[in-house]
Amino acid sequence: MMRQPLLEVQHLRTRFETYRGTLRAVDGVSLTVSRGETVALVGESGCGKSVAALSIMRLIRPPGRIAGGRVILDGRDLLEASEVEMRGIRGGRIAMVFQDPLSTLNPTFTVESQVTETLRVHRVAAGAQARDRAIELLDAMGIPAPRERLRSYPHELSGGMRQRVMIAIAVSCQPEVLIADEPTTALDVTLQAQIMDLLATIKEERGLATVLITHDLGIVAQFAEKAAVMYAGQIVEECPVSRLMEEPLHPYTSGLLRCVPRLGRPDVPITPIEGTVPDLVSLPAGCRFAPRCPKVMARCRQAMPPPYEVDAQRLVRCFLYAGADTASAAEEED
Amino acid sequence: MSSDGVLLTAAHVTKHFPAGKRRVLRAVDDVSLEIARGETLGLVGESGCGKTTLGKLLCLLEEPTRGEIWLDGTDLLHIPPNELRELRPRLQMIFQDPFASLNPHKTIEQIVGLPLRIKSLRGKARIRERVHELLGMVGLDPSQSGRFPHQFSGGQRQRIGIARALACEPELIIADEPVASLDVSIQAQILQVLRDLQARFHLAAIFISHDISVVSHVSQRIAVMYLGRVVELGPAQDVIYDPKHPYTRALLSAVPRVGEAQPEATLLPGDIPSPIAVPRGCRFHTRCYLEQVTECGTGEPGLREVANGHFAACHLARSKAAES
Ligand SMILES: Nc1ncnc2c1ncn2[C@@H]1O[C@H](COP(=O)(O)OP(=O)(O)O)[C@@H](O)[C@H]1O
Ligand SMILES: Nc1ncnc2c1ncn2[C@@H]1O[C@H](COP(=O)(O)OP(=O)(O)O)[C@@H](O)[C@H]1O
Ligand code: SF4
Ligand SMILES: [Mg+2]
Ligand SMILES: [Mg+2]
Repeated sequence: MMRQPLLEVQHLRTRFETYRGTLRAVDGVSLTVSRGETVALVGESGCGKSVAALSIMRLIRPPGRIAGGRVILDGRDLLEASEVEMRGIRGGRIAMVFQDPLSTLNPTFTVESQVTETLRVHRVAAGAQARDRAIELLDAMGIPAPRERLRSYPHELSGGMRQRVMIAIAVSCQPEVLIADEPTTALDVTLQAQIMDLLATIKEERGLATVLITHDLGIVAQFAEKAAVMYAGQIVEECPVSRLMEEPLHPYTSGLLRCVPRLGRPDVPITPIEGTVPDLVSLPAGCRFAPRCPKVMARCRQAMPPPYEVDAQRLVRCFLYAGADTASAAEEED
Repeated sequence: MSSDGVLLTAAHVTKHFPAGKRRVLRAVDDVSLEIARGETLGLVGESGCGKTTLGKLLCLLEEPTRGEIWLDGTDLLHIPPNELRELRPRLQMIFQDPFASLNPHKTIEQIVGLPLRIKSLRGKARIRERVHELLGMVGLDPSQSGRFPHQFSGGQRQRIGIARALACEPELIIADEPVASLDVSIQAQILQVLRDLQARFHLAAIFISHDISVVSHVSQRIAVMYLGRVVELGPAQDVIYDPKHPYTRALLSAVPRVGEAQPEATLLPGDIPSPIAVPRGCRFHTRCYLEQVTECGTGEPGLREVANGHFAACHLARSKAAES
């Protein structure tokens, strides 16, 4: 079934000017998310996941800048939108949940003022109505005694409760898209299970298009339909999650899966990927994974592989699949 | 346990920290366990359950409020300081954040060489030779030994920490979340280094982690902690595939699986209680989802052997064993 994409990111490029040179944090990322779909953006730290999310929200500040691409929400390119329009979209049509609620929630304001502020700014509700709405929201997020919790300050809440408040604020204005950046990374596994369960319920009930950012392949396997694997600022493989887990094609994806310890399966060996991720300021010529790739070929060190369309559901940025490309011409590169 | 014999024994080890107003924080509460030579015991549990404190107690970096620690037949808490100094290097701890435990002003050669000098290895050249050998063992380039800690990546710093621990020629390594802050590809590298060295030197290890998947890979036995107590202890595969304590079952069900079907998650209600106000009776009873018996709210269940070498601290687990 083809779903109409709600959010379409095309060839997004975001760079930071540093003293050492230009840092290519996001370099030609394309991604589509439909209503009711969860797409995981997965990769190791520093590969550009958060910068990609912030770029979608147009929250990149100097010395960073979005150097190219399009972010199309329901037909509208957000990179062309005015800042005023963006303020309505952020928290309104696209909401974000971060890893660390303490750094996002204001420590000097109560839960009530932070939830109602969002409702007021986006003209959803004000006054006593906003307060009632806030209580409803906290309750829906599984926060016990929501009326009393309104008076709490963020630091008075446990990590799990803070994350629930963050999610309450995120969904308060009925967004269409939710970007969750490592929403459970700071939490213990039993709390993670609670929060992921909550996010899954919300997505189901509201038909949200969700971008789930994580470094955890277990989270990807259990909570996303589609996965985009990032390496050094690029998506190296994108396909439905079940196929990615059963038959990873890109050497980085298969390497990553072999690094993951399987619970209670010491017979499935852990095989490290040798080396480390490249410096995004001085990237290797050619394929970015070439210095660590067990299948590297001569051409990999000379040219950057484009994303090859191996079949209708799968893109792989690797020369091993050059012959398998079903599209006549690969996407253009700069 | 392996027939190799017991290396370290902890009996009723307890650590209470003062928490103001005559209250105490019960970080570790009456933990007893044994580690055999060459064995790896995994210690798993969620943050704040007392893993680090227990690790430090076993390594003598923290003094217990109560309890005994025996190394190879010697009562470590009741021997003269000079004897203790002799024995101490046999227990080495590796930390989660090697950066915090590496002196930023010293070169790698000085850091790894320090325990060698203490061991009165004579001669600069011999120390250097040994340092280079140790660096090679953990997969670091010996030619970089003149560099400082900040010039290395997180994974490399963990290797340095391991080399420093190895310099003491320990018999037991207590590794506290050694891979928790590393990316999975680097985590895999470090796990491989640890595994190789353990096999090579027949090292015993206590591997502390919040990640039961990692623990299940490296350990022969697993101890599960909750609120300062070991609530389950047994052979790794038995604990994973036939958990006896309801907390262990919830923990296992919460782990998102890769490459296999996800069991139905058992969601525990609420948060972990504070170790300053440990619930009466079974300390898990406020979150327990089993049909409880009266004792659950009144008596603290002790660790009972419910299957061969497999212990659980749950009143119901015990009664189940009694039935059969
Ligand atoms: N404000 C910034 N200034 C300079 N570099 C940045 C900034 N934010 C992120 N980066 C760099 O961009 C790259 C991608 O970072 P990020 O998106 O945060 O990675 P991830 O979320 O995948 O861990 C990293 O190399 C990071 O150091
Ligand atoms: N030096 C200390 N003083 C007071 N409380 C401590 C101290 N060290 C640890 N604690 C407390 O003891 C409990 C157990 O901590 P810890 O052993 O670090 O747990 P874990 O390693 O499992 O996360 C926590 O509640 C922690 O706050
Ligand atoms: S003793 Fe009772 S409350 Fe405690 S874990 Fe067992 S069943 Fe649950
Ligand atoms: Mg990030
Ligand atoms: Mg700890």
